[in-house]
Amino acid sequence: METTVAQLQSSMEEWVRKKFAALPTHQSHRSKVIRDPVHHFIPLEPHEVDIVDSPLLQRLRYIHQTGLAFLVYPGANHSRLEHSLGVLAVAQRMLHALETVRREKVTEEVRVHVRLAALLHDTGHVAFSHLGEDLLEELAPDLLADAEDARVHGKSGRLSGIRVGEAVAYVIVTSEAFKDWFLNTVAREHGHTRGGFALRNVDFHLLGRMIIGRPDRSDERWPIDIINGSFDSDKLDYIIRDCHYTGVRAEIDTSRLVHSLDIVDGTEWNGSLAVKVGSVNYLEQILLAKLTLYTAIYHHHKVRTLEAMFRSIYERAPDDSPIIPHGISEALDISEAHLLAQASSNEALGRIWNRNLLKRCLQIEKTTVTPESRPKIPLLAGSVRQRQKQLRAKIFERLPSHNQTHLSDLWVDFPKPPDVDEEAHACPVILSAGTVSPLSDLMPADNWVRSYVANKLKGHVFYDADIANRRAAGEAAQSVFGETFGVECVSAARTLPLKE
Amino acid sequence: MTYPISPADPRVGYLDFLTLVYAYLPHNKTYTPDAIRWARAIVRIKEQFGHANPELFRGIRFIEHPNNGPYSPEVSEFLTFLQYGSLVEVLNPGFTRLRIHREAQSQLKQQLERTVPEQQRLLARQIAEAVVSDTTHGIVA
Repeated sequence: METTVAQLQSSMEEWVRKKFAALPTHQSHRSKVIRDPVHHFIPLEPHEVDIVDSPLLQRLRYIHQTGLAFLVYPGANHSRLEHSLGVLAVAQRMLHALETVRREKVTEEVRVHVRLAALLHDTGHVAFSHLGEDLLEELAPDLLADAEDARVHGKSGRLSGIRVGEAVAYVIVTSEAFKDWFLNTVAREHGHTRGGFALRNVDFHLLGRMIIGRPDRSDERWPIDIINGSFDSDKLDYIIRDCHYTGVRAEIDTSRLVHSLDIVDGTEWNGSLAVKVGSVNYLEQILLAKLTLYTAIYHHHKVRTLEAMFRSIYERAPDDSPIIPHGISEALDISEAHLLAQASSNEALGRIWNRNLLKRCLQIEKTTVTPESRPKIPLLAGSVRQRQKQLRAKIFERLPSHNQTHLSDLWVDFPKPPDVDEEAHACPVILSAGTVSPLSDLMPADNWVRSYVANKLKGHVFYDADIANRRAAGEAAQSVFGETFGVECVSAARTLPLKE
Repeated sequence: MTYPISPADPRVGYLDFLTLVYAYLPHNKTYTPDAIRWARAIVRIKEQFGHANPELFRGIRFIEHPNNGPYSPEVSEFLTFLQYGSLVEVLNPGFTRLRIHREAQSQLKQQLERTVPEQQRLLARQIAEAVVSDTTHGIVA
C-alpha cells in the first residue's frame, strides 16, 4: 500500500496510463442529452461525452452511490456515474443563475472547468463508495499521515485533511497521463467549445483544486465552492438522488436556492459563493434533509449491520485473498461485481449477498443506559473507533465456546454522527445591508443539529441471529461495557433489539 | 498512553484524548459551542504539545478553509459526544455558551482515574490548562 503522497502520484500515473492505453486515439463524439430521473435531461458537450465514455467515468457505473444500502432499500441502486452527471446538472444550474447577477464572472473558461470538475469529482471512489473509502483509509493510514505531515512541514500539504477518495481523484486529474490523453485525444479532436474556449488550455491543477475544495486565489473560490463548498452541487445532488432512489421524503428547494446565489466582493469572504439572507430557510431545509438521510438510511441499523459484516470479511481474509488490495490502484480495480463473484467461495460475502445478516443484541442510546452512565459513553465510542477488535475479543471470550461462531460475527458499532459544522461555518450569507456573515452567526445550525443528533444516535452490538446466542452476547457486552467504561445498561438495552 | 482495553495496543484515539482533556477543564467557566474555535484551540495545543506527543493528535484532521477555519470533523464529533453524554449543558436559548455539567464530569473523571495512568492524566491536565489560558484562540466564552 502506498505510504506517501509521492508514491500515490507515481502509482496513479501508471494506473491512468494503463486505463487509457486501450482506448482509440481518435474519438468522434457529438453532444448528447442524457435522460436522468432526478434532473430529467442533462445536456453534454462533445468533449464531456469523451470524459463520460472514458474508463475513469465508466468505472463509476458499477459503484453503488450508497454502498450496501441497496440491500435494505431495494431502490437504492443508483451509481456514482449517475451522481456525477447529476452534479454536473446542478453545477450548470448554479452557473446559469449566477450569470443573471454576475455575467462578467461566469466566463466560458470558468464554465468549462466547473463542468469538467463536476464530472470528474468522484473518480477516486472504490467499490461501495464511502464504506470502501473507510476501509481504504484503514489500510493506508501512513498515506494520510504523510499528507498531514506535508502540511506540518510546509511542503505541498495540499492533500492534508482530505479523504482518500478526493485525494485520489485529485491525483488522477492532475496526472500527466490524464493530461496527455485529454490534450492528445479530446482537445485535438474537438478543439474549442461552442463558447470558444480552447480545450488545450484546460488547467488540470485547477480541476484538482476544485475537486478537493482548496483554492489558490480568491477568484477561484466561487467556482470551487460550486464543486466542493458548504452547499455545493455534490451535496445538492446526493441528497435529492438518495431520497429519490430510497423513497425517503425530504424536500429541498434547489431552484429557489440557486436563484439566491451571489459572489462576495471584498471582506475576508472575497470571491466566495454566498447565499442571500432571504434564502437561509432553504439552507436549513438542506441540513434537515441531510439529517433525515442519516437517520433513515446511512445510520439505519441494517445498513450498519451490513457494513460491519463487510468489514469483517477483510478482517478474516488472508493477505493473498483476491479481495485484499495491496495498493490504491488495485483497490480502484476491485469492482463490486468482482466481490459478488467471490460470494460462492467466500462464506462471509455469501451471507451478505443472501442477506443472512447479523442481528442486534444490545442497543446503546440515551434511554438504554443509566443517567450516571451517560457521561462515560464517549469512552465507549472512543474504544469502538480505536480498539474495535480488542473490545470485541473481550466480549467474545465471555461467550459459550460451543456456539460455532467466530470473533468476526460479533461487532460493536457506534456510527460517526452527521456533521454540519462545515456548512454552518463556511457558508457566507449576504445580509440586507450588503454585509456578510457565516450562516452560524444567523442560526446556530451546528448546535441545533448537535442536540438533534445527541437524541438520535444509537450504538449497537451485532451478533449471530440465533436468539440464544444474541441473549448471551447482549449480556456479555453489557458486562464488559459496565466493567470497562462504567457504562451500565438498563434491561431495555437487551430487550429492545430482541424484538427484531 | 495506554488504555484498559488492551495494554498490548497502546494507541490512543482522538475521542479518548479529547475526552481526557475535557475531564480536566475547569467547571467554573463557560465555554463556546463554536466548533471552529474549538478546532483552532486544538491546533494551538498541537503546536505546543504535538512534537513531544504526536500520537495524541494522529487521527484529528484540520481542514483549512479559505473563509473560516480550520475545521475539524473529529473535533466536531467530540463536541457532539459531549452533548450526547450530557457532559455539557447549554446555558441560554441562543446556544452561545456551554457549561460543563459538574456531576457528569466528576463521574467521568472517577472512571478515568481508575483506568488511565497518573502520568497521562497529568499531561491531560496540562493540556486542559493550556486550552483555558489561551485567551486569543481559547474556548472560554
